[in-house]
Amino acid sequence: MTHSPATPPPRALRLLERLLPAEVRDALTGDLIETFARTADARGPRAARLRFWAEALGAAWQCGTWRTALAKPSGLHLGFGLTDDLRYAVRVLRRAPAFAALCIVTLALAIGPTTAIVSVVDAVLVRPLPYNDPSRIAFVWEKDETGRPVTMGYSTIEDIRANATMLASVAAVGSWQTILSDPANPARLTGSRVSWNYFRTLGVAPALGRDFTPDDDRPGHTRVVVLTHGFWAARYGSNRRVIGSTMTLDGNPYTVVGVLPSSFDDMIQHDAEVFSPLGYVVTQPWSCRTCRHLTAVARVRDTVPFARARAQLNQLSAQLVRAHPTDYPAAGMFLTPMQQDATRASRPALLAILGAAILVLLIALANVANLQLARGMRRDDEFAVRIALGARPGRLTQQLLAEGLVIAAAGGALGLALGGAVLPVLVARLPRTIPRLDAVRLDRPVLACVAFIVIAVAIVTGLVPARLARRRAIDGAALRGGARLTGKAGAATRSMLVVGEVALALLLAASAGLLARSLTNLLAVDPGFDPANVITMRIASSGPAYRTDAATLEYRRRAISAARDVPGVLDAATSTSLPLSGDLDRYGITAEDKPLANPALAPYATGYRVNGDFVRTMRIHVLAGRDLTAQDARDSAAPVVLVSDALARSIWGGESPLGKLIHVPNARAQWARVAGVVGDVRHASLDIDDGRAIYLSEPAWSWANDEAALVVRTRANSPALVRAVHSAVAAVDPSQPVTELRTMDAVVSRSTAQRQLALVLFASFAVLAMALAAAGIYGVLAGSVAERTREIGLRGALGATPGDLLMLVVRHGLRLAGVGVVIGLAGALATTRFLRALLFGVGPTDPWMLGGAAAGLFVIAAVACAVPAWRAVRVDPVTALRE
Amino acid sequence: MLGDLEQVVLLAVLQAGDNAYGVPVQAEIRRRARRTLTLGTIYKTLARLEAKGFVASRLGESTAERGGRAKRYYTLTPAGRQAVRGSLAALRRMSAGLDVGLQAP
Repeated sequence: MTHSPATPPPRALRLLERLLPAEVRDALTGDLIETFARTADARGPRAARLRFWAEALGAAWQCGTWRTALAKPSGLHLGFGLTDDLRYAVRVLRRAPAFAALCIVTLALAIGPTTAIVSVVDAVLVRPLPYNDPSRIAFVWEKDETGRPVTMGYSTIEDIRANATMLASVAAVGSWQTILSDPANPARLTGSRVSWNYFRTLGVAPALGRDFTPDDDRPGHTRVVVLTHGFWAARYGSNRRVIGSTMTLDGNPYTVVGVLPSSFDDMIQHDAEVFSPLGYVVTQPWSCRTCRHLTAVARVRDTVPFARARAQLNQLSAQLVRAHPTDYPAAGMFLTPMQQDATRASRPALLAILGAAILVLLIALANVANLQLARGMRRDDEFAVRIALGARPGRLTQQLLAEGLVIAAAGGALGLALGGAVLPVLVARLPRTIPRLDAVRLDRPVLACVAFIVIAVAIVTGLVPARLARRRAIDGAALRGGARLTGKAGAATRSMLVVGEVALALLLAASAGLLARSLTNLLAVDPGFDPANVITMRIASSGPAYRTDAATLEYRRRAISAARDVPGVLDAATSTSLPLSGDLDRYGITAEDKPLANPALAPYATGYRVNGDFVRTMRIHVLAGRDLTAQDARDSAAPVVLVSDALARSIWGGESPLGKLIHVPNARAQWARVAGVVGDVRHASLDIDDGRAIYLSEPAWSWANDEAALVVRTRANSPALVRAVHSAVAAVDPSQPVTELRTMDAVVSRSTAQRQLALVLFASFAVLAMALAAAGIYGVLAGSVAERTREIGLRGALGATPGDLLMLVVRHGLRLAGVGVVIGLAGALATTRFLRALLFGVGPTDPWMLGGAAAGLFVIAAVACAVPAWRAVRVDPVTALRE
Repeated sequence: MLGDLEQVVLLAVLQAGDNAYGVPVQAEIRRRARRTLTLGTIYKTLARLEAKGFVASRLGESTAERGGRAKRYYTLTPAGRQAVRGSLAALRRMSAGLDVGLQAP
């Protein structure tokens, strides 16, 4: 056959062009064309075409597996070209560094705090306690006359142990402050006295040495201690030979028998250092049912629901009340899961802070979506061209998702780093009353949470612009050169996002306002004493030299006069209880002339056992009668007592209590005469109005406490004076520890620490939220001014004044803010009640606070309008129209 | 250890010497191994070998007889040579002393 030079089959060529990956397309096709020519020469065009087709189909067949063969073996194989998309996304973002940085930093600023707070919430509220099967462990409380849970006497706990068959075990725990005598380094230790089965009830075994045995828990056999891991490490440098050694506590030798594991965390004394057996039996006077100073810890049997165990305890309580009617104020008991109970006080604050962090996260999310949208509008042409060239809309979506993912991942990583840096600061500022703070760390649940946030952010910030890009593509308007379609749909979405941001920012601002108001209200509360210019410290006396009460009282007197002798000191006194310091020392008080059928219903009052002139030093008001005098202290046979106004009212109503006799448990004499009435002092906390108290001279008490708070009033507190007072008191007996040196102002301020922290966090979140919202408003307005340049120019040419043009933009901005504020107010009315536990003296829907926050947001919105408005005014009509 | 295809293609690239692009490689395999491999199979194997770092490639000149398309030349990297050497040595050791008709008559 003679032919014109044969050509390869065109359809086979097209097949190759379309299917082969770029890397080999040219080489392979070229090879085939070359071979075709040779084959045609040697065996004719027909054979050559046949061979070409066979090769082309063979190559096409291989196509499905090309990609895996071509990719680096260690590369990422996400399929569907996602790797390529991610690579492309990084390239695209590198070309828009300002945009990328803004998005990433915005996300990091929101993810960082969220990470830190999630870490705390996870450790404190979520993670199970470090005990064996912790969900079965519970506290048992008695019910007081107001229906609140209270601690118990030992005899009651023994009855529960004997009769509550649904509890696998019951342990009693009493608080224990003890002085470690050490000539070089005396220390005041915190710990608990516990029944021998306490650690067994929790399911914790010592890491070193042994647990307590029933033998240790008998009266007179209790001189053994188990140390916590932290104390062992700090005091003994983790020396294993400490087991079997002796330490002197309160002047008595104790044998160290065990060290607890490092994971152990006590829910009753968070800062516990030592544990010793309780050694109680029911026949001891301090084991009585009304001696309510013990916490009961129980393990509920595995198969028993809490409700049934609770029912059994209530039944038992009813029997006890029938058998001992004068020992119980009310029938009923509480059985509360330990974790829930131990975190009850901190739960509202932590959850509120977590909620605030999530709001900031949402605002940041809206802002990033907004930025993406604004940028998406400018990329109209890119998308339109790509779609015209045959990119499927799904492909564009995937690429925008990849861009979202790159931004979110970078923001997440930066946020994580930020969170890691913030976390120690946050934990250090959290009040020590929150349990489990030692367990706070950035670990797997937190990382999982951040990963979830990153993916959510990627989806939202990728899909919103993608949806719009797609709609636009279908219309193909961008290519026709018409008005930007995204224009309309995009602007609407952006406005919605800004409205949402404003609403959330308002919620945060209102909450921060409510918390700030609560704190100022709280600090404005008259604590009943004057904390300014008062120094306090804790002095203790233990060891052989202080075996007698007289020696202890003498030490107190010398400490007081040492403090008084420091120049600049006006007065000094000691008291066994110090207001707002967390002390709790309360007694049921009965009056001789107002006998009660059930003595258990006697009103409880805080007992201040004082040396020196405590009332005058603290500047507590004397309302009637007189203050205690030095003569009262010497005359312990006919003791006198001061009562607070609240106590006087609850016992005698309007009658004058002066000269009346009251019974104070544990006082030396059966009756004490009321010599004066003083003003109420906030003892437990500034927000609890429970000022019932008695003041009596310490020698009138049956024993002298081995420690007391020394309060020193100065002319003006200065660091130098604080140091001088401290060293003067410490010099009285260098072998005795002088601890907790603070100003009374610091004591008051620390009692509000949790509120202060919540306020600081809320306020910073609110500031961040408002800044983001302002940025959102600014972005939308700037975009709209840029797009409406022609319109604005036209209006200017037709005679609109600069004022008109200004209003055009500002109105737009304020309309967005207005809608946001309305939605935000509705949201605030619905949600601020979750803050109720943190509020004081202000309602959750306080109109002033909500109105103030709304006004604040309007001001910020107006400021955000300023620059775009100024730009609109500066539009030159001629240039704008010529464009 | 190299796969059978990889071994054949690597040896063919060596045999083709300086001229190792698709057509000569395919021809060497047909001539010496008496196997007909499609170019698709050969390029896929070469891509895998390149990913493993056993061969390197460069683009050559584009000629009219190829419809203006460039050639892609392949050479063995030191690692590729090492792999071939190892593979052949293993075959030799495996077959040493066996009477499978390989010895010269």
